Amino acid sequence: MSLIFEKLCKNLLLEHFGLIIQTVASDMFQHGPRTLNQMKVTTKHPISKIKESLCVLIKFGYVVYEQTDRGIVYTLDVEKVITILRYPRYMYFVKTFCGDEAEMMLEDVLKNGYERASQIIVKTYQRLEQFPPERRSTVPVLKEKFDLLVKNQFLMRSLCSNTLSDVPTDKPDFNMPSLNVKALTRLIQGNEVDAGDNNIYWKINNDRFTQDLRDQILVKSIAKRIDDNAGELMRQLLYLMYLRTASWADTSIPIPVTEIKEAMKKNFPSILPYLDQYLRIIEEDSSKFIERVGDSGGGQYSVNMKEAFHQLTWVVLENIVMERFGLKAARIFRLVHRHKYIEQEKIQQIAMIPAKEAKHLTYTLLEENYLQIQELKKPGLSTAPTKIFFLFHIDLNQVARMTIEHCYHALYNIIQRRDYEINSNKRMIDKQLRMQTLTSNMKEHGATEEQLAEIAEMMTPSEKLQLEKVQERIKKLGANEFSIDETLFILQMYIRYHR
Amino acid sequence: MASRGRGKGKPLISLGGDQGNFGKTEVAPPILQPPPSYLPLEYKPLPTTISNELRYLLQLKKDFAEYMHESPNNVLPIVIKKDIERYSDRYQDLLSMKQQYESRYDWTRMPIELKRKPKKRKGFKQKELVKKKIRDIDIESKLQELEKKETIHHSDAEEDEKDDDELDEKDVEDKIDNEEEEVDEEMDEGTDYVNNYFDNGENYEDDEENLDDGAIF
Repeated sequence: MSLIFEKLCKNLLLEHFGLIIQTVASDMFQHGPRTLNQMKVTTKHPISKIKESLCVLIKFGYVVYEQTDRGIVYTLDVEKVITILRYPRYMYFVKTFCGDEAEMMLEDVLKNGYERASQIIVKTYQRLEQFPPERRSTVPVLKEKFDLLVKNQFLMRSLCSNTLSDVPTDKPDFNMPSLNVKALTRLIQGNEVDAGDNNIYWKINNDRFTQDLRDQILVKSIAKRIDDNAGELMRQLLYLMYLRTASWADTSIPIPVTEIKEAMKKNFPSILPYLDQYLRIIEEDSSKFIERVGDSGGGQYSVNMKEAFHQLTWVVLENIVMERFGLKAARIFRLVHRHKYIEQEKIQQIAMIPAKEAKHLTYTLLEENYLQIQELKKPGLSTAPTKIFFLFHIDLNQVARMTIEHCYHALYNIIQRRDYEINSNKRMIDKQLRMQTLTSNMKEHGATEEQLAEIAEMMTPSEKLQLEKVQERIKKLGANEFSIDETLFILQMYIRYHR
Repeated sequence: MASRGRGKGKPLISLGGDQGNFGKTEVAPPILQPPPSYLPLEYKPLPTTISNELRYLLQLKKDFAEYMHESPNNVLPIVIKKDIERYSDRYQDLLSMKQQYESRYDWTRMPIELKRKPKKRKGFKQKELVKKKIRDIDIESKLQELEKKETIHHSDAEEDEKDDDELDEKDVEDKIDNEEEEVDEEMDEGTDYVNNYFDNGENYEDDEENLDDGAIF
């Protein structure tokens, strides 16, 4: 774990949970697993505050604990902390998949770490009451939505065994307790009733969301490369893969064409006449997402996840090289990739770039660690430099890891910059907020147009212009945060499959 | 680029002879400005386009971060009030829904050591209660004894009454002693003069002489 990763995690915790929790977490970052008393010594916060912070961190699953002979030892789960970045994506995904109500429920779970089903439904109902009647829904509908979330495994039971030792043994539990709808309605009215799910808490299933984001990337890239129909076909293939293969397997168990046909008939009949062609195109494409593995039963295809992320990572890195060092450097990068091991002179000959420039670019790439050098000596000869071959090659794993670090760094920088922008313009942002509340208050009390205009004039035109600029900048930074996270995700998937 | 800069001692092979007489023929122009703090960007990054999807994601992110920051999950430091306690403070506490964090968790699923221990003050009060109870029982048992005595020695009532008085007096004294001790315990150590006072014993004899003088007049 690198320093910059630690900094990024700390920054995320600071943004969401405040300073004390950040210091408690950073203590665990520095020293690894800690007991309560050790933390008290190093963080210098009152013990009650440390306890409170640990409670929050445990509730959100960022800290796990274990009973040892030293007492209870707390450990920070850093991989979990970084997922804070992806929460909006999870919410959006659920929104498109299961609808608005489901999104609200998920949001509620995310905001609380874990929660009881009855509470989630009650809270969502109360939130929906603020909307116009056509967007409200009844309790049974909400309950169904919740069932849907659980059925799709977006939520899973949060077992009280949050301890480290139990993790390998406990399997995710998706059993839905029988909720009493009548009791739910009474809960909404504010009565204290038992809805039949005491001590059954739900938390989000990170693994499931990771898989979904992974699949989304595959579908999206096929849709972009070929067309939407092909994207839909890919989606069905992935669905068929789920039915027969473990979720993180490298390749799927072969899927016969007949089955693909049936699935498409059910879900997407318009593609049927061209199904064979589409399969062929996806198969022959350089992206290598699927491969033909046999001819029995009219042909069999399997989805090759490992290879897919290998290819995607290549594309990502190629693009990064192109944007950082220009088109010609990208050409050299591709060239080295194609030839695996290549000499300096050969690059100059093949790349069709002036020799001097080619040399310069090659060494720039080497300096930035995108290329690696391999020395080959003839045995028994003197070590004179002329007798040694210097072969350039690319160690993809290493380059991917390096780029992941760059992503962390960029994310950290973006967050820093955003904080700086917000802090240096705090006065103006606050003023605008005050004005907004004032205007809405005045409107409620039936203020005249003149009064409203007067309030609007509190801000000078130059201030408005400045504010607009700042807000645009903050938005841009936020948008970039998401796109960097997407790159990061692809690279992380690559590392996961190619460990 | 990588080959430049290092070879101070012997010139590298790739550098020709012209490098050697660099110092003689040319004098490097004096540098008047500090180098720019950032290197000039050779390749500008692509412009960001914010799609509707991104806009929605941004809004979600902002709302989530704000909610989390405002929620009780943000552990706030203990604020020490600088000046006097105000009447309105109580109401502000009510308004801000300040709860003990313990009430928000289900303690069947948390390590119990994270629960705050009851404060020491409370423990002290409990002890006091126990003491008082014991004393009550003593008095009652005594009264019962006395009643028995009364029934047995009805004739020597007067003497008994005297004894009773004495007993009562003793009780009262005991009580006062106890209370004094308790007060001592409750007093802050900082203000207790006795703790800080140290008699090195030098004045011991002088005091006695003075006392003698006093007695003589």
